[in-house]
Amino acid sequence: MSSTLQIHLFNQFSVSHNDRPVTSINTARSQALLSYLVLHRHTPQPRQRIAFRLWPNATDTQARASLRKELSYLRRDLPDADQFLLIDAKTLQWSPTAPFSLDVIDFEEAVREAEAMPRSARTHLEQAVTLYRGDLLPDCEDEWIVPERERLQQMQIRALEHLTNLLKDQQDYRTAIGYAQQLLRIDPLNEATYTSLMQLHGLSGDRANALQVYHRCMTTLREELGVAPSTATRKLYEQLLVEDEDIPALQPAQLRSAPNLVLAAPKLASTPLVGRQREWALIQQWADSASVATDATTTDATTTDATTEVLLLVGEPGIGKTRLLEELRDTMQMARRVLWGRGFAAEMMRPYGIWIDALRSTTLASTVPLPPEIGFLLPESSQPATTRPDLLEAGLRERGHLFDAVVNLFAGWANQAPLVVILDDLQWIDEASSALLHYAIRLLGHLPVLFACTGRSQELAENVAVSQVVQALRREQRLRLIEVPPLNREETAELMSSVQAVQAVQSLVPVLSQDDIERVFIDSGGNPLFVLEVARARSHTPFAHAETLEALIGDRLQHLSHAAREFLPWAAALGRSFKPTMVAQVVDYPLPQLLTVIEQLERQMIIRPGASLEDKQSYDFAHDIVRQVVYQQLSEPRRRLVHLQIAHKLHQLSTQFPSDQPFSDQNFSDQPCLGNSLAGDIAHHVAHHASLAGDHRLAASSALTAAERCLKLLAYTEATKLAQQGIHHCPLLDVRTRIRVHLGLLRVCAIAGVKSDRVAQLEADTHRLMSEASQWGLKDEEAVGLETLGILHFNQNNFVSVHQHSLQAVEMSRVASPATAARLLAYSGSCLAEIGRDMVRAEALLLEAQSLAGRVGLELCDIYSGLGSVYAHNGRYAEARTLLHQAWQMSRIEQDHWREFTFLSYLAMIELEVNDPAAAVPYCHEMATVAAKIKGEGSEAKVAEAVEALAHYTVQPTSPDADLERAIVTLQQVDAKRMLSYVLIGAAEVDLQREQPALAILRAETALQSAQIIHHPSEIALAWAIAIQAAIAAGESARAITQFEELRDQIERPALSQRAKTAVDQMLQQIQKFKDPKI
Amino acid sequence: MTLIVVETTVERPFTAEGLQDADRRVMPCLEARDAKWRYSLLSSDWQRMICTFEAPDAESVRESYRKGGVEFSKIWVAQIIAPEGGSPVWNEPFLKVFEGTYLGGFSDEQWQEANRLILPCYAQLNVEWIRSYMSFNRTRIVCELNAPDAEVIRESHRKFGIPFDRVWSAQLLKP
Repeated sequence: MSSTLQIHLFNQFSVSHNDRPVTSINTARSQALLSYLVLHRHTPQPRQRIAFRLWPNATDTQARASLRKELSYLRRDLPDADQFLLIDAKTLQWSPTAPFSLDVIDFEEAVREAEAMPRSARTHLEQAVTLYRGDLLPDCEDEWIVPERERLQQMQIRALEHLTNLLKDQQDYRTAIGYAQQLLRIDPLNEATYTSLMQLHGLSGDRANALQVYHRCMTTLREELGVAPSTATRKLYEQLLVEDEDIPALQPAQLRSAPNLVLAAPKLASTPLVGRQREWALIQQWADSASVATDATTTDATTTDATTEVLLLVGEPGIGKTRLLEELRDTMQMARRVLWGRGFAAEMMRPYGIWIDALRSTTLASTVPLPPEIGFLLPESSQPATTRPDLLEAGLRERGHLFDAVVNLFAGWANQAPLVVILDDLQWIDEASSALLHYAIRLLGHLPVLFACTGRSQELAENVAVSQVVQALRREQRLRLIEVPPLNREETAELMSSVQAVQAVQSLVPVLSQDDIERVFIDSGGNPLFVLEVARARSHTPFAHAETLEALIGDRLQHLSHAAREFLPWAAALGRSFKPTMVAQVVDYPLPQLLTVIEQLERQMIIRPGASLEDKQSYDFAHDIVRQVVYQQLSEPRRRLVHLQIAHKLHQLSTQFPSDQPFSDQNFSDQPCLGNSLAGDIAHHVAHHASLAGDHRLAASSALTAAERCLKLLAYTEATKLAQQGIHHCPLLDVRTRIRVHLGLLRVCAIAGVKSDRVAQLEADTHRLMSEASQWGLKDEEAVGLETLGILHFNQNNFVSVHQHSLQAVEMSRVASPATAARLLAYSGSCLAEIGRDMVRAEALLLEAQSLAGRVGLELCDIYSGLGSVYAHNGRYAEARTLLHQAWQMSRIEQDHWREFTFLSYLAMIELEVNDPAAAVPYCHEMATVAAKIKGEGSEAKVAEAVEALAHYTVQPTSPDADLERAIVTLQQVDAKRMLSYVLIGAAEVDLQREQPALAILRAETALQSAQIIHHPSEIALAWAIAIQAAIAAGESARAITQFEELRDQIERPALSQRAKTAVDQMLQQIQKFKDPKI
Repeated sequence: MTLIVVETTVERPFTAEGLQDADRRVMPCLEARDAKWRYSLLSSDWQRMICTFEAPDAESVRESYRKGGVEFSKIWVAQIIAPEGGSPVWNEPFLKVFEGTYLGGFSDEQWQEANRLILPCYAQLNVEWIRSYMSFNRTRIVCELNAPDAEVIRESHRKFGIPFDRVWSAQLLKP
């Protein structure tokens, strides 16, 4: 039989023979020789010609000698070389009839077939573009290869163009976009491709991306060729920017089912990525290892429990963290769904702000149904709270529901395609967002969901909530931290050159000298943003030298047109990304004029397209420092006026809707300036601007509205901060307004939770205001005060002090209090921990409960016991013992005998698991004592006897097992399967050690039956592993293998306890002796 | 799944709010343990209740009650015995519950004999036997009946010397 040789020349040289790589052809010249011959296989090639082309700088004699040498190497290293090489004294030829395959031949063949067979053109073209994995031998610098490389590249371009048009005709826009993007990567100066891509995005209903493509087109053409886009491209852009409904051709048929869903897109990389090889390599390493981790968990659940790491890029402002994330996004978005959210300094009190933005950055029209709770975050998602009146009335009963909804949504997406969640500027996110981040990271660790974040080192540490998440991830070894350092001198020069090249084309600046570079490097300290600003400054002042980045930006702003300078302060004052239409409305600016300004600012790299909300394009400043500089240039009085106008305009818009309708439910989508994006949290924005404007009345009342909304979303920290901000304005209000608003804000504080040291002050303030309300005859306000007192006492567990009349109000309010939320979460989390299922979620819920309980200084034994169970599950016995001991002590004080009993049983089980049965016995005695105090005909006394019998059975190898057998029968009678399987497993382990395999098999198999009925993953695995080991010990290998095969696919290693994992590993080692070694 | 019966007797009558609260506290734990509430029978004096569940085991229901801090008197695994030809439907205004405890266990023969005696009597008195729950050790029996009043049931059993603990009028609570 003939052997076969596979040769790949696209992207990288590689040869394999009979599917085994041939690594011996590893020098550049050997590879070039083989490639030359194979690419010129149709005719014999004169030796002299080959020698000249491969060694062009050598003398004729030297070149021929080199060829002889390389040819001898090739004959030595190439398997069956004589089959492939036809050699004579004057010529060499690759045998065209030899059994070999070449990717270049396959590629050309596929293109030809596509042309010849139009009906199957798509299949052949897709095959062709897949085969073209990259340019022909990109590392080969020989001249002879250039024409061939270009020829093949042109073929690939034509194939991609053909395929894009074909897919467009077939209305498969999403796939077409992918190929058009591929086309742009090969030929970034092809304006027709940009136009095509804009049209495709438009046709698929993604106007935001369509506009961004224009921006990229404009930037690239300007930087590379010094020209602007053509009129046709500009027209298309303007059409996309201004038109809402009247572009019938651009209405996506497939998205009509969800016409109001927000489509958005991340920002566009507008500057080249200079340097950063180390950081980029680390990021790729991170992405690769994350993929390996998730692949491992999905392909071999029995033996792998890897989790993904979270990427965190840290560094100073302007250092290029975001730029690296943009590069990451561009690399990943072909094959993955990418979500992009960003923190804003002005929005640290906007609950879940970064998550709302991230969710809005992707199309929600998918096959994954949206959980109703998402409606609380995204009212526009067609999942309004009105579809769940129970939720609307009560608010979310616990934060876990909202978190679970987000996690389930992500998990659903991840099951369709890998998901990347990019969160920029973490230092500015709110507490609620931090909690959700930690929750999501924990629960999605085994799924193909990657989290990539950035943060400013110093400010990250100042954000307590975020820094706790970072610390926890570090502790759990789930953090891949990459410090982004300043550029070095060479990289600074490269970045300068890339910008200067464009300006040089435009004759704007003199060519860079070494001195220039040195000065910029010293001035900027290698900060890329600074370097870019210096480069831009040189276009105005060739010898510009500035002390600070801010000064450079300030100078640049001075060169803008009057209209642009008038526009910018409004955008900067908004404090986040902005929609031009919104600014136009706020400042009564004509839209056509605005478009001219926007384009100028885009060209000057002051602003960039950002997300799109409700089909309305939004923009963001190129960097937050630019926003800060614009804002700082405003004089104090003007700044106040700007904020005042924004506050009043937003307030006016919000009041156009019925007052009894919550903001989150109002449909702002018809408003020219407000999409649903702002509807939900408009009060927060009004409060922010009114506060900065010094409009105390509006600031205080809006703070109250915003704080109440935070309570509905269980965002307690943000509610408290807003309430305190509102209270700050209260002394300056008229008496009646002051009493009403202040009491309302105190009520928010009480619900959001305060620790005992602040309760007295809060009570005193409430009493004082109630007294004033009484004097002024304000009955409703007085009732609010009464309710506040009730809430305070309720949260402090001081039920006697809860006023009878306010009991009902307290019951209503406590739905949203952190104390109640903590109790509910602790209850759910400990419940999950007890049944040994979904321990990751149990831990996440319990940690969230712990965090909320900490707000009000609440101690809950369920949190300690639940976490204790989680740690015991993970084999962290010392920590588990401490926590369970604490839980036990608390339940003793509370006289909660069942909990007391349960925690004692956990403590006893820990001692048994760490092989110290003697230490378990005293706990068993205490269990029996406590069991006698529990009302109702329960199983506790029997459980105590069973655990003690197991302890004795374990500790005394020679003791008869009558007690144990009796205990097992009793557990069967009371139908306590979990405890039955636990005791049987423990006994079976002892039997195995005592070389009584038959008894061990019997007990382990009975345990397995019980564990399967109650779906306890760890006990199933334990019983299974021990039964197999016992069968092996009994010499019943066939039984062992049958047992192994029966359940191997059902065992999911990540769900198992440490004890079960150890048992499974031991069993796997033993079973390998009988099975295929691949197991 | 196993059929589980939960008996509860309280000194202070249940209240609607108390039952709702108990529901809220027990249900999540039951759900987590793959257990499902079928229905409950509540006495007309609101002091006695019998609930039935489908659960992996009795302990799952016990733990859920304990964890939620909800009282119970007895929890046991049951088997259903129904009339041949199927159960009649609940006639709620006439719904009655019969309870009996038989320490030595109610043998199959005793059961057949009791039925032979009591069912014709029931027919004459317009009493319909709906179904019975019997514990696996056969010591505990709870029967559901449609009857004009509780007393006719008591009299019938006394007549044939079949002991019982109590007979009461019940209202049906369903999910």
